[in-house]
Amino acid sequence: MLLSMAWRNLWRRRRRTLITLSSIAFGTMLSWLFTGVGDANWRAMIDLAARLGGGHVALQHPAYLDSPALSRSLPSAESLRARALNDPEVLRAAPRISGQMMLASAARNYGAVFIAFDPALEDATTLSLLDAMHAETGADPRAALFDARGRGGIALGARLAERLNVGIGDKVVWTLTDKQGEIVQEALRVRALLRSGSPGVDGAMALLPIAPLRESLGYAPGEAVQVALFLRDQRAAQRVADRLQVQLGGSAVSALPWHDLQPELAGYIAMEVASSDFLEAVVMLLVAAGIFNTLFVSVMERRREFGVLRAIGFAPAQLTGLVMVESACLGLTGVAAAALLFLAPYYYLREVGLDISGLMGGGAAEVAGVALPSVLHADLYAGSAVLITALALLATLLAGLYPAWRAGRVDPAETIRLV
Amino acid sequence: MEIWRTAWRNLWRNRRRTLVTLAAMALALCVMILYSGLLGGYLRDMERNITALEVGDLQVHAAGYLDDPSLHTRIAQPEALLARLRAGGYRATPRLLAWGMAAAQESSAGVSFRGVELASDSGVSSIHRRLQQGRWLDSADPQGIVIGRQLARILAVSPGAEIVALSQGADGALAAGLFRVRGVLQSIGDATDRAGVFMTAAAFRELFVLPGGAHQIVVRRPGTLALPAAAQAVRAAAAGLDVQTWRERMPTLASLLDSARGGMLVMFFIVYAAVAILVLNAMLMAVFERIRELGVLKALGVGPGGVLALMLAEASLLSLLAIAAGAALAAPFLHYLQVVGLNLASLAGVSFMGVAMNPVWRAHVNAAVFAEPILALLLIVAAAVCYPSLRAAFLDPVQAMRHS
Amino acid sequence: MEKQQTPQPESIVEIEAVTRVYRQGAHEVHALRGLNLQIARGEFTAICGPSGSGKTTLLNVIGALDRPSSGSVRLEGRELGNMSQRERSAMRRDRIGFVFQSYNLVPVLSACENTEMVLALQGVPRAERRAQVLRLLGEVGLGGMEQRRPDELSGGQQQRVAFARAIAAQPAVVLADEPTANLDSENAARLLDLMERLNRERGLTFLFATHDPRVMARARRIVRVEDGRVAQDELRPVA
Repeated sequence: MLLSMAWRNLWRRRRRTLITLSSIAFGTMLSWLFTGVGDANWRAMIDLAARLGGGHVALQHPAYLDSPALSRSLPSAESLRARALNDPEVLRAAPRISGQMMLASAARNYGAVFIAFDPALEDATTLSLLDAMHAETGADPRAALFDARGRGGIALGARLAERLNVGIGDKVVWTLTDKQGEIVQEALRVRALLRSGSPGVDGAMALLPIAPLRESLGYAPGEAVQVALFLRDQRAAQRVADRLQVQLGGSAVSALPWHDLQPELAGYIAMEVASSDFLEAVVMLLVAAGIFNTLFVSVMERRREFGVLRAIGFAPAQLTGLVMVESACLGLTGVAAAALLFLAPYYYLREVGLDISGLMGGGAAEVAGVALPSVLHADLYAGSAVLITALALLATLLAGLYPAWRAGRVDPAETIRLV
Repeated sequence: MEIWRTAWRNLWRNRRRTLVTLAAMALALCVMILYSGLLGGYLRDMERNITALEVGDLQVHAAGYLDDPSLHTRIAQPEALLARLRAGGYRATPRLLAWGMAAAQESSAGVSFRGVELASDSGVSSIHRRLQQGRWLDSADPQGIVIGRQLARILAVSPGAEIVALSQGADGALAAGLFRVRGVLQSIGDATDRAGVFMTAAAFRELFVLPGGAHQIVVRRPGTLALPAAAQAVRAAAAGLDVQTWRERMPTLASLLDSARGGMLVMFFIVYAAVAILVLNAMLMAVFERIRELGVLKALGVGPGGVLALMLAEASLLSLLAIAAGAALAAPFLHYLQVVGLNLASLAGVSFMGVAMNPVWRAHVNAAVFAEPILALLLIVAAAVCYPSLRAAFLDPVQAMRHS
Repeated sequence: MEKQQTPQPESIVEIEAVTRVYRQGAHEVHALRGLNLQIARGEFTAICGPSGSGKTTLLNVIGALDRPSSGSVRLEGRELGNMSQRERSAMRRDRIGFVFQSYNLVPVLSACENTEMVLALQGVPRAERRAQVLRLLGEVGLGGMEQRRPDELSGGQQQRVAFARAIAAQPAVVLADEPTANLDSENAARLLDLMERLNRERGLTFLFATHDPRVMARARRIVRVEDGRVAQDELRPVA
């Protein structure tokens, strides 16, 4: 009965209730959309960062993070890879050798970041650079890295190749410090070019197959610098890293989540998340102020009615309860309205997305070397949705507390005398 | 005057509601002022990091250098151009650029060597003040180099460590030299952090066997001169050379910074839409509470214009109070943000489009920081009070007085 | 507690030396000044007096809406003056029925819901209270109008709903503050007939605060209150 009474009370002032509902709906929908865009955006960036190198979780030599030298390798990378794949949350695992090398052509020399990968184990879902790889033959770019006799070549960023003044088929010489600290050099043929539009890739990246490089560096057959792990869901990174750290044990390996590998990206995302949370909190606070106003005025208008209810035997707590139920109804209806309003834009953002490349002047924006998506998508995590909904309802209830308390405090003798 | 006094009293008839509405408006305004100040500071710092650290306002290269940056493509007579620019009030410094390899004890990396003319460079770039460890270059220490912070990590070196530089000299022979790390830079930007090796111009010339010329001249314009005008003047002075502003060098970043202001409009819209709904409801409640009274007023012969003026006066007073409160609330925070700033330690080393972001985020304060949010608030309040005011103005007095 | 099972006439309301002082701005208003009154079960009594004489305050004090400043008010032998708020709410809910001048129904509830509200508060199961309320509304002549909202009922009908609400929980006493003031003579007569019948048939105790001659004509005891004291207490023969 309290519920139906509260619900009917809400609609005594239709316009006022509708306005209040619209503000709850607006605030909640906005928070869902904002967080949804954030969830999708950061996941895209984190996944992209993982695919640019390192994965969601990386297994590497404990000292490699602080000083990444090729001497700090994982001799048993192959068996670590196999064991990591036993983890239910690990989808893929790829051994890598990566670092910096100097590349020289007859005319020039430049520094480059290289990733040596196993073409049999990886594709563009683990190494996004493979998407940007263009070979002359147009065949599978991974196969294109090898010549007819099975000798491995190298793929260079298009801009880097331009600067070195080399094209496909030309030779470049790489220089590296090997496992023993000796400088080694080797000549390879350029077999493909990388064209991604990102200056960090096109001007500085080199890809090569891992097997021949192992030989040149004096690595054993199963050895690698890093095993990059790809998870079903990036949010599990810390958990999986902790678990693998225990399972793989020992001080010879550390399992690091992406945010330890790329603290800059993690810092940027944390800042963006914090600022969008702050904005949402401000909007919710404003919405709560509106709810407070509405409920407070509605209680003040009904003082006499509350006085009569007190006279016929309602206890103060029951009147407080009535107004709290009204505020809960307001909150729930507002959230329901928000859900209705939310569906269309959310569906659009989820399926189509909002192209913001115009804001970037046609170029690609990068943070910490990772491209920002140029099309905004939304994909709200269930956890975020539940949290926002709960907070919206909590804000409504908190805003209702004082008016509800006032309703309970109405003095029947005094208000009835107002008759 | 009478109308203002009446409006003022009406405002305080429902004290709590007015206070809550006022507080919400003031809070929204305060947040927007702070946001606007922080955004201004961010844009200023980004531009400063771009122009004052690495890129400068303008860069001069020999024609064709940017497309094919070869050691041999140099500005042949930089001294004459530098003298002309300096005479025009510009600050300018030549830079020598080359690529090669740096090898430390157990690691090596491809690097970008940068020869710096110490005397003029410190007037153009503040990079010499951005050291994380050790000290900046010194002409008395020709073997001393300063390197980027990621590079120091990759090579596992700190000040005092020895590094071998390897490349190809202008004479075509192997260029090799032994250097000692004097300093490690703070985060400057992706490229410098990962590969930057700074040395004195003299050391560079010796290593690369390069007696004259420069690859790049970095120019800072006089503070009074706008960028396009400066670009025009420098182009005239550097005939036959390639002159680009930082916006032309980093077009994507420039347009992103330009559109950041547009992002602020979105924020204004969102936060103020919530305020608008609040004000709309508060004013509507004020009208309906007073509907009998307004009916009496109209019955007494006050025209729609008079009632409208009364409602608008009330809204104006509410807005003025909110503006005063919001600005007063924002001022100390803004001052704090301007002087101390937000310390975002987690942002240390984050680059945006290859340009370092400052870990301490300070607000920029000027009149617009206050004026824009205030103006936006006034517009939104004006929009929100239209309906309630008109509603009150065109009440039917008979019905209004019968209203219970 | 030490209530004795004395036979007739049992006192249902006992008021001894009750004062009630209001503070109105700077000065004090003495609404009741040491008033004494006893009401027995089954009375049909009107309290009258000029406005400001203290009759509404007296009703409020008896109805556990207001506390006396001093003195004792007992309802069915229980002292109301020192009860907690919660106890007084329960007292009103279970033992007292109110009828007001301006009906004061809850506008969003139907006649039926208004009437059953107190029963709901008492925790009477839904089906049981529904049946009880339908019977009651039929008894007050509102059969077929159970689902109407107050604004769909005439003044007389509303007041009968209010009366049904007041007696639904079988209170010890019904307190009616000018119940007929807003009613025309036909509706006033109808309401008073109803009240008289229930007084006669069920022994329900009625206490009116009124100066409506239509009410006074039917009262069997008239208590005149002046300046916060009982000025005259007159018993009238049953007609």
